[in-house]
Amino acid sequence: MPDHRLFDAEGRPRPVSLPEVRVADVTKRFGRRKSEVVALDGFDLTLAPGTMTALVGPSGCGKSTVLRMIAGLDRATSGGVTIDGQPPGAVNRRGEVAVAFQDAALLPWRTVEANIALARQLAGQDRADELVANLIMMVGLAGFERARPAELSGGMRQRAAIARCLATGPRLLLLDEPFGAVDELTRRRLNIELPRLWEEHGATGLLVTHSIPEAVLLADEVVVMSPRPGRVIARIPVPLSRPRNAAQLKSQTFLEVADRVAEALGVDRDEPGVPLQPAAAPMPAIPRIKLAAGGAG
Amino acid sequence: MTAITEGASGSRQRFPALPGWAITTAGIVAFLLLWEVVARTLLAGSYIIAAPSEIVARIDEGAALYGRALRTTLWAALLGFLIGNATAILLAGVASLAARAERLVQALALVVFCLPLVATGPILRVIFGPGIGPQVTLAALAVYYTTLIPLLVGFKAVPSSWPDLVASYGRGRFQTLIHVRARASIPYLVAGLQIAAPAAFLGAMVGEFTGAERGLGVLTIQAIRTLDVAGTWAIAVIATVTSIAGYVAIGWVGKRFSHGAPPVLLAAPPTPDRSAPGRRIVTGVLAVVLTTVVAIGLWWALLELFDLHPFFAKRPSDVWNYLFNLPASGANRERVLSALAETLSVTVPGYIAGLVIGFLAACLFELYPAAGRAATPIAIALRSIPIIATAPLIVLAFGRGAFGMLIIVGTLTFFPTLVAVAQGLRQTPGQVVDLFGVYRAGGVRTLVTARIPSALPAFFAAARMAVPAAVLAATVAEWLATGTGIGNLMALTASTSAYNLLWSCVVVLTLVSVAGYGLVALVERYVLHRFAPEQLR
Repeated sequence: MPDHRLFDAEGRPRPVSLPEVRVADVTKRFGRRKSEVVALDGFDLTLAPGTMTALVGPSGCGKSTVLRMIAGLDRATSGGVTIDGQPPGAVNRRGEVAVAFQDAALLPWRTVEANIALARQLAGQDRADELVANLIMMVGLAGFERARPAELSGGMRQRAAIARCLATGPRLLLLDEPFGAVDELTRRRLNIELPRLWEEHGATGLLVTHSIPEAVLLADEVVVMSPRPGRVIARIPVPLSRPRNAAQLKSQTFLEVADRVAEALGVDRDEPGVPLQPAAAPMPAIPRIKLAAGGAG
Repeated sequence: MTAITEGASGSRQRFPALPGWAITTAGIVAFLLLWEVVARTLLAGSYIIAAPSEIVARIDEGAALYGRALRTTLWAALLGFLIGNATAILLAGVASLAARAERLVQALALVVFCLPLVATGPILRVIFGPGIGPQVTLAALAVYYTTLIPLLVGFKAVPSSWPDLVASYGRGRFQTLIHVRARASIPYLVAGLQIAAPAAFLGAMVGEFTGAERGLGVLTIQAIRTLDVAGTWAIAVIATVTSIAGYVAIGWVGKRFSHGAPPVLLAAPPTPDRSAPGRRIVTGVLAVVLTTVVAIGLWWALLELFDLHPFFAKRPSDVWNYLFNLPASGANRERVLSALAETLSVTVPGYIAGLVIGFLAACLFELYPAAGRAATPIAIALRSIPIIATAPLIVLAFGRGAFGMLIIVGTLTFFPTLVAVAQGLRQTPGQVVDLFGVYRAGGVRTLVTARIPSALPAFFAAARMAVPAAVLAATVAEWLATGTGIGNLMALTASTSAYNLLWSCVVVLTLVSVAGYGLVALVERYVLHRFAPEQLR
């Protein structure tokens, strides 16, 4: 596994080769004609090498779409995404990109160990049992190597998913609301653990989140997006020192930055009617049942 | 009615001492007793029903004969089961790798599924000669669709993040199939294989009806010809028990491999199409044209490939000429269509009656859960009977007229509908049922307003799948017993070597089945759109 730690043993920044990601003048439309939705319009974003950028914005503003395009999972309608000048596909195949999904995306029939090893398998790398064991230790899952996802709590599943992300030694880490599905207590715990893991591993990073404290604690810069079609409306640097720690959550700097982000998002105001998200469609009388199971699964 | 206890778990509290298996056993014992009594009193000497004790005695008496026949049929069924399911798995894999091919694979699979098996029998007999070739082929044809469709659904029944994970490492459909879809679809595969077990047995027996030398199907024909009531029943019981054993065994093996019960599946949901209506019609027409062209091409190519003699292996052009291009075409058409009309005049009412009664029975079981718990396992077991094997019995029981046919088609439609709707009714989200409980809505109210809309997709899935089955049941009954309709016409042509007529009947019946399937799918779209739009994605 290549060593691109951001800090040396004394906590000094190390010079390492990490990718720069450019999203240039990207437009993304979904659907056809009448039902067309413009998710992004002329969107620009640059991820500086070795930094963590947080992308925050109201629901449906296209922030996950940006992440998916960088991951090579979606294609832009126009404009382009490059990783060190190359299109995403080629970079992905070398295991240099890792994505953390909101639902952990662990395969239920594989053990924790085997789920983490899957990433190396998919990236065409050797098994590296020792590395997998180390990662399990690092994320605090020692003793659960043989457990299946169903036996783990939500937080433990996310830890396993993060270990899987790191297993291929990625230089680009894409986190799509990684803690969106875990409870608040676990989330706070993981928010403190993740920066440490990321700093030790070293990678260019993008974090998509709804949580302002999460964005501020993890990122070097918070990018605030407008409602659909998503545009960048503010870029707020986070002047907190690294490595990050729990004490910083109570620092004056943290609170000020969090306030600026909230300000840019337009939340925390007393007057009603701030349109954070499009009006929800009326709930159907009966929730949708997945037809995939033939209606009887 | 006190709504809350009634709606949710009332009966469970009323019979705390009786476990589910006890109720089921009591139900089966009561059923057998009633059967015995009716056979020995009401219907004694009427050449209709044999009492359970008589059937057991007959099986005991003919154990050696039945044992040999069973081995023959079982072997053919097993071979067909393996070949048919292997083909299904292969086709599903192809469809999963090439997204564009999926609709074509599904459509062609449906066309082949709609082939009238009975009529295919004699043609296969000529091709294969004596031996088990036709039985194996028919068994394979009978199983592959019910495996293919659940597999296609199972391949897609994964959270979108799983394929995304594979794609995020730059890997494509093949790796996704290997690492994600194949393993995730195992419960669906098991569900398909379970239905396939009785279907394979049925296919093998139908193959034996049309001129085999050995096997249970041959014994069945002999028993009917000699009005051997106990013998006919004995064979039906053997077929049923074997089929249920296969069904249960596969379910048991499946449970070892996939945690939790396999889902009950009947058909793929119609693929949602969000494009504009005009465009949808154009693509729909194109799809039909493409399917037709490919189907005709395959038909022609297969015959040429195996170099089959044109005397019995008719090409598409032969059928076209026979029906449209010859001086006698008018009379030919008239002959086929009038026989078809005769068949449909009993098939359609029987099919609809089966649907309606199955639906109502499932609703009743939902309102009276104790009755449901006693009857549902029996219904599931009966669903796995090769009902065609019992067709002769029903003809014995209800005569060779339209009523007997009505009962056969109705029964065949009834059981899958009952099971599917019962499962569908139970699919209603718990929170919705709780909500109705909070407002003290009665059982009927909850059923009509909440549960039935949830069960509609399951109902229609069963209804679609029952179309070819109903046509098959009707034609088999006509072929074997009643001497009416297009089934009988095909039986005549098979014995008089009028192969042009036989192939034309096959084509017409296939088209009717496909059209019926499509019609039900259209009604489904309309009804769901109107009454349960949330069920359409």
